[in-house]
Amino acid sequence: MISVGYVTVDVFTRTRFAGNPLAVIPDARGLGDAEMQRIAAEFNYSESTFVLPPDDAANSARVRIFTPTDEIPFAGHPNVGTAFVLGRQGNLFGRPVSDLMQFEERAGVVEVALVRDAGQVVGARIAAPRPLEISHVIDAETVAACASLRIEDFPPDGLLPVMASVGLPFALAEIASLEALARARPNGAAFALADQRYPHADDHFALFLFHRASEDAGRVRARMFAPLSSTPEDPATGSAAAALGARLLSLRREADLDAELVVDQGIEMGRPSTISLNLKKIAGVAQPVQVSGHCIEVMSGMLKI
Amino acid sequence: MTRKLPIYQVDAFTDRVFAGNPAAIVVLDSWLPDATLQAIAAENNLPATAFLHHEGAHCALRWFTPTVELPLCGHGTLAAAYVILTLRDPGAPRVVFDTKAGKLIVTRHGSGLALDLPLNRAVPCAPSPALAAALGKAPAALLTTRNYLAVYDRADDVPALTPDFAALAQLHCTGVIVTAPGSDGVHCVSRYFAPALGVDEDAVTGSAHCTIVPYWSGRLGKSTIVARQVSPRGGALTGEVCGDRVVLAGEARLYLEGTITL
Repeated sequence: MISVGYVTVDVFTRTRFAGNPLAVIPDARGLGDAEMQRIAAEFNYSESTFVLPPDDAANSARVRIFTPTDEIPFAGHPNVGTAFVLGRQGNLFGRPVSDLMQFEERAGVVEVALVRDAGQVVGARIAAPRPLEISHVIDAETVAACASLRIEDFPPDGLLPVMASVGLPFALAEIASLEALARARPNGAAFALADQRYPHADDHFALFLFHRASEDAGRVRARMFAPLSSTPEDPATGSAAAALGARLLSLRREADLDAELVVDQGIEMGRPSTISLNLKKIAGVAQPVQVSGHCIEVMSGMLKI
Repeated sequence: MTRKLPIYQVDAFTDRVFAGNPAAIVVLDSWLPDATLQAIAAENNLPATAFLHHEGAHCALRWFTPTVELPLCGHGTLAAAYVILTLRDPGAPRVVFDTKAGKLIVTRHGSGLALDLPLNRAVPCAPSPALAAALGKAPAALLTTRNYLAVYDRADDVPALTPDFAALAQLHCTGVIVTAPGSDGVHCVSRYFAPALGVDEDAVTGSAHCTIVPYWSGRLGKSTIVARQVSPRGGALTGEVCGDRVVLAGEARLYLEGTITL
């Protein structure tokens, strides 16, 4: 039997038992792939992360991200939460933790910055690892079936539903009203069909629904369903919010832009979460979307495996 | 003020971690508001989180799923007893819990623990075409109590079932136990589906064995029944009928030990 240290945190919130829970194994040396997968399944959170020494000494760490069923190339809340945990612990494989870290992940190197309040680490900010990639336009009937909604629940002048990724793919679909957003329910059979129709090598079909009070609103309400990855609903999805931010940024006409967008998620499931995005364009070139959020510690101890 | 509570996660009814039925056990120095207990259980996102509080010689025990408080939880009781009898009070011969289901006693039993639960006998009933359709294969016999008990002829029938959970949830019962004779020293295999309770399939179910053990005990004429629950995680139990009680014995393993900050 070996003992392995762990920490759990709630991410994208300042309130314990809100936001998105994450389990972090701050030193995963000695664990095999199968053990990491079993630990992620046993925690049964939407994701668990495993921190390893970097392959390239110029980087801070290698971070592997597992859902209860699969390893995934990138995700938002695991990066924010992992950076917070490492920032609070203060050292990483014998080196002091810097306020700027580089995590090696399957999607690429993720830049992470600690967010401090009065010197104390309270959260983190990450940059999306890849430029916006739109792989499919999704038909509205598929989205409606997955979310148990009607075609009338999509705004006639809204954004076309697409599968977009800045590291992890999501079907992004605009919803006409908060009432329709609250009514949405994931339909597993429809997700299985959607996964066949719109396959993506990086992940199963996952749906990010959002509602904007107006086109230039600085706040967006959202829900995310991923029943094929054992997450019927996710309370806070940084990677999906970042993909939405990148898509909205791509539609802006300004050559230079520096705007904040706040995504409120998880309200309908009783775990309110706040994801802050920075959308920036310089001389007509979109910069990587920055995702930031607060975190709060919940649990720590040892696994006996 | 920051408050820290001990928390354990135990896999019950198994002799190895990552199998059996997981439960978290939180040890309280005083009772917290129900909303806090529910929030901790939701955060753990496990089939059950048990809360323990020592009151003199007694130990009060409550169980919560991520959404509701449970009236009785066999695996949560076994896991709580494992924490007390192996970690917190390793000299004690037994533990008595005060619960919403009355007094529950757990004693040492070989390398494992034995849990005394009320027997829940199923009686034969008419075949249910709706149940057979939802299970995808008609059972050889059907009995009922709180749960349906669907009995198949061959051990292979049970793991092969791929039920329609939406259809099962429409049936008028708490859940559906499926069972068949075992082999190689195992008397019976089973699975338990309770989509109406929000659990499509439970990994290992103490309460279901309060029905499974008396059924096979009567049918096979044996006092002790060696049972396997053949869910994807899998679990092992031994059961014995004692009057109107069933004594279930099983092993448990510690997976996690930590503190929760409130």
